[in-house]
Amino acid sequence: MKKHALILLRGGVFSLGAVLAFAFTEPITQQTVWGEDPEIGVRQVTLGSGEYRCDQATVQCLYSDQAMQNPLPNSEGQFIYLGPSGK
Amino acid sequence: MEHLEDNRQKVPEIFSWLLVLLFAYTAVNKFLDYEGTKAALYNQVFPIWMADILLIAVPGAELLLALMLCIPAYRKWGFLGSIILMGAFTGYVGLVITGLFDRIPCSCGGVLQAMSWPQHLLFNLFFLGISFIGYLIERNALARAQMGLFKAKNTKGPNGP
Repeated sequence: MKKHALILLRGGVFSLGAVLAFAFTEPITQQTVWGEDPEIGVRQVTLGSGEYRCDQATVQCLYSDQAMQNPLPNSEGQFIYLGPSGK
Repeated sequence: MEHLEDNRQKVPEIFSWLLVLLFAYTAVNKFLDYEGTKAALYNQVFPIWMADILLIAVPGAELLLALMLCIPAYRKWGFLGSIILMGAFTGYVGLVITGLFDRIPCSCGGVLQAMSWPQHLLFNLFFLGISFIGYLIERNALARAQMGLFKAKNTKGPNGP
């Protein structure tokens, strides 16, 4: 009985982790985003590409609109445009 | 003595629960937010080809370790794998903080994005610590069990060994 309870408990902990991930994950689906490079201005980039990077800073890095009114969640940092060829 | 043994076995059990919770959460999170995870990895200081590999390897390893830690027969290896994985994460965070690379990427878009780099380092060190302690206790328990079996096999009976 104790053995079965432990097995259930372990499975429960695993399931809890998965459930918490479903509860707290905010998937980013937008592909085209904008950021403002301090030297060359606003640039359109593809999310997750090598066209840009976000360096540590307290400013907003990426926006979901060209007018830079809608910040993209979880993208704080200094936007640096690297160009179409990336790094 | 038996009471002490029972209590000692509870420690790796509880530690394994914490690690299972962490790895299950982070693995599922990465799969659910594939684009966000990809963006976060591409933003790191290592090359993009490495990020492409890690994009699949890391959540896969986390899921595997979570399963291994759930199964007592594989728990020791699960703890060992956790030490390796958490050690790699911790080492990378430590190197970023020291400024060894030419830039410090933002800690955004990651699984635990609410944390700063130093906070992330402490968080990783905690889980690295419990992985290490859990591994040591499991390894010693197995060694004691094997020693017990060895002694039982070689115990002199009324007619000798």
